[in-house]
Amino acid sequence: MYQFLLSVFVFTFSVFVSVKSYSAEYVDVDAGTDIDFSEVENLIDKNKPKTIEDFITYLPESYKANYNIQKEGRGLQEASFEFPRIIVYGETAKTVMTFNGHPSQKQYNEIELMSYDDIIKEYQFRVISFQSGKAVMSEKNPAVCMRCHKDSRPLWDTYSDWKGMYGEHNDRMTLEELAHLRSDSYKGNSRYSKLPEHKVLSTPPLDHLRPRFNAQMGIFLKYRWAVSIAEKIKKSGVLGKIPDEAVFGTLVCNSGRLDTKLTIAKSAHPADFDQFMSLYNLAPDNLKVEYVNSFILLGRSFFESKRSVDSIIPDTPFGRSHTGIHTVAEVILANLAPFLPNIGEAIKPDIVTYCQQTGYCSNPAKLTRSDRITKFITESAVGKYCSKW
Amino acid sequence: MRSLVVIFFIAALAYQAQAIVGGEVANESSIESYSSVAVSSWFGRCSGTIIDKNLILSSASCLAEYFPDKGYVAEPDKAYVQLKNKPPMSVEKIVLHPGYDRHLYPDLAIIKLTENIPAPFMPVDLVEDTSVLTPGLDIILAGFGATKLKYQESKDRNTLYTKTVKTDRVFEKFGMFSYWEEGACEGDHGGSGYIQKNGRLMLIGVMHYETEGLSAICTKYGALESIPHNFAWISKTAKELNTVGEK
Repeated sequence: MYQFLLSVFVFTFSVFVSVKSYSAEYVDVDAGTDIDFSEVENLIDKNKPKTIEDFITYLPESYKANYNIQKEGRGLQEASFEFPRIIVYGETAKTVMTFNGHPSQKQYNEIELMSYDDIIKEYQFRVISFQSGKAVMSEKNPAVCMRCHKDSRPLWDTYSDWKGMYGEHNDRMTLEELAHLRSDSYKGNSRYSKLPEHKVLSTPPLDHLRPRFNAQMGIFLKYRWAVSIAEKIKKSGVLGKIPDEAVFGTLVCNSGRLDTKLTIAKSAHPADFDQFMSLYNLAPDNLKVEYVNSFILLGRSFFESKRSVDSIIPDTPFGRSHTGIHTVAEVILANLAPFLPNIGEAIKPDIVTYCQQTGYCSNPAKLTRSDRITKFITESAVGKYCSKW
Repeated sequence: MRSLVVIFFIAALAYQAQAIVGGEVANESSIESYSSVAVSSWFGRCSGTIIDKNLILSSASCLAEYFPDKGYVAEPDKAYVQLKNKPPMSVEKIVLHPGYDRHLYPDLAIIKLTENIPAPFMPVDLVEDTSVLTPGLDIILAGFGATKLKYQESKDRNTLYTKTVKTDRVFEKFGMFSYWEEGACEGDHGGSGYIQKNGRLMLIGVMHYETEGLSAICTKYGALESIPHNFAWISKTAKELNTVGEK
């Protein structure tokens, strides 16, 4: 019976992959020609743009070609259907920059940008103001940015819905959105006209060929976010304090074994445990597991922001068929695997196999789409361990 | 008159057959100008075009089934064709464009019938020159698909509908072109896109199939595989199909 069900799953999954993955993107964070803060500064120093229009003109081609379109603003920079906020992200979203399109809109004369620092493994945030007729770049992480991004997290919804974006459902633009991108008013805008037409217009209008613009940016943001979390876990001091198996189980299992989890939490972070419990006791029941999982893994970082909580838990943010990556937890685990030498004999072969097949553990940046059919750690682990953790 | 109408049926599955949205019935006096045919398969009803004495050009998406171990395969015995007022004709072989298995385009397939299409039906000429395909070009869509949105299609499944649309864009990289108005709908995929040259029709495109965007495609825009961009494969495959086994 089990083999039959497995066959059905493999068949179904294979069909899904074969039909749906043609416009998929590779996850290779080293592949791009993306720039960082210092290169943005160089660009400004060299070209001395006086306006945002000028600035756009000097952007590398990869930034002009890869952008998403936001019709409902949720941050400081205003956005509307008619005058959307443009989010340029290059090839791998290492640096992301935004601007809007009408003088009446808030933050019209500012470019918001964030850039991933490969050393500290976090996104950092800045603003470039053109208010004075020249580009003035803010310090890193100004309060105005960190109010929302306070744990340095990029704010981007999970595959496959990005509320407020053009193509907000699964990268399918509506007829109205397509019509607006083709309109003279949009094409004649002083800023939008500096970009090549959106890739959705340069692709045949067929659903299965549609470019995955929102998904593509999300893949890289989530990937880097997961690496950031892995770094926070390493810095939390939890590794080596509790059994490797417990780290593993906490990461990939979302079971309700709170007693076990709280015992582990106390042994991992005794100095912070009382403070944690004061928050834990106030947490709604449905979030208690997330709270304790996150505290185990992050230690003191848990208190920095509750936002960290909801990305620790296994989820399906990437869409495996598009990327080869299944969950944030999977990326985190692959980054932690070398630091979990006693992860457990039953799990170890899976990890070894996974690492051998993908090469991902030694070089996570090189995960390619072909890895999508490998046996993933989390799949096997959920069956083996989540009843325990 | 070089080309005449052939109407094929295949009733392999009970699939809602479907014609050009906003189109007109090809009138009897002009119908002989078209080489468009109705084609069906395991999948259901679609459309096609006669390109040789025994060959129909249609869409791979109409004819191919997906098998996990083999990829996309078209099985001739799951398809048969029928000319209007004629007995059904069986299919000897179906060749899918190799690109279809890799990335779902070009969505092209050539059907070889077990016998020649009887007179007076005749094939259409193909456009070979890619430079002919430009934005603003008049394209005559001809198909047997739905005339309205899904579930509101014409009940007359044997009628050829036609509509002239203007080419909106040419996608060189994909070998396709699009139009931005209502047109092809369910059952039209694989159908013909003609241009008129020196008073006769020439095939320049094959209409695409859509799935999730279907209602949008029916009402607002559509795409066709370009014949000139795929001419080399079509002519080579047609030649091979009609020379293999010949003495």
